[in-house]
Amino acid sequence: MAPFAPETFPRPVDPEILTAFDNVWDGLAGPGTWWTAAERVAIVAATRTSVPLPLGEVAPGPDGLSDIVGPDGLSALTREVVRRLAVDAGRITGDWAAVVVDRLGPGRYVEMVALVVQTVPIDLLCDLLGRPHQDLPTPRAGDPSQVVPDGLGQEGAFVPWAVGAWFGPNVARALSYVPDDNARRMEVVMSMYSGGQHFGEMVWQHRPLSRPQVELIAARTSAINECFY
Amino acid sequence: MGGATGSIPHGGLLVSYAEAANRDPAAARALDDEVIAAVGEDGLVDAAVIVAVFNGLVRSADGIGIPLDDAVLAATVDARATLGFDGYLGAANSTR
Repeated sequence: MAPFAPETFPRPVDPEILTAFDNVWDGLAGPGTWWTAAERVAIVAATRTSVPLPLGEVAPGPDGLSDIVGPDGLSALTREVVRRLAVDAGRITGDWAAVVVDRLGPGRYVEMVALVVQTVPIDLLCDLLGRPHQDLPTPRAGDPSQVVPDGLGQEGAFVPWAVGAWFGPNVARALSYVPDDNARRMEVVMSMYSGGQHFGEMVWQHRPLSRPQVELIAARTSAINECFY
Repeated sequence: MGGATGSIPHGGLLVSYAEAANRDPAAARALDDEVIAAVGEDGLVDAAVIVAVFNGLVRSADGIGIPLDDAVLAATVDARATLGFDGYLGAANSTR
């Protein structure tokens, strides 16, 4: 049975969304572009256990954190980067990102972002629908490909991304440093929100909520997370 | 709770659901019956789907420091100032 089979949800979920979730889980179990499968699974496990710092406690700067790998397969640096992405992303600054990208390399950092942003929506939807989190997959053997795609350049973001003949919204090219994970991430986004050919239409009739209702929920969610973009 | 927000049907209830879902997903389920009564079970699932996917999108934007797209940047000068969005920490990352 597929991990996100319809019958594992207490309420009906669009099959296209569940297929996207299954593909994320399959991709999570294999070696990535910059992390092994075991490291990828460990990053998602750390995402799930990340919590905000107590009020008044200052987050450790990334330049002083150890990169020695601990028993969970992650270093203190990696764990803090995951924590920041998972529960404190609104406080990421350019200076913080510059140190992290310098220490981890752009590929490893972008792949961490990719793993967090693929799995947070899945876990959150499960929480909201009263479904237990899916067990993490068993990592498969293999080495990261470490292939840097052609056509990347520094163009305003913290990391290089697709440049040149780019005509889409910036959010769609955000993770172009890791194309396989970006494709899975975009499948999640398309199935849950933008719906391919419907994105440019002001009137939506292909889903239960109207477009104004969808955008109202989206805007409130972005504001609560203090996301400027 | 449960009224319209402007001309958006059930906008007040959907905003309340979004706020609860973002702050305490388990507690948000206390609103399930009310949301279902307003927009149906499929509508409840749709609302949850949107909260969930945008929790990924905001992390993509903040983690990568995505610059605001040029057309949006130009078209939202007044709205951003009025609504206080320019005060978000991420504004410095997204308006370079």
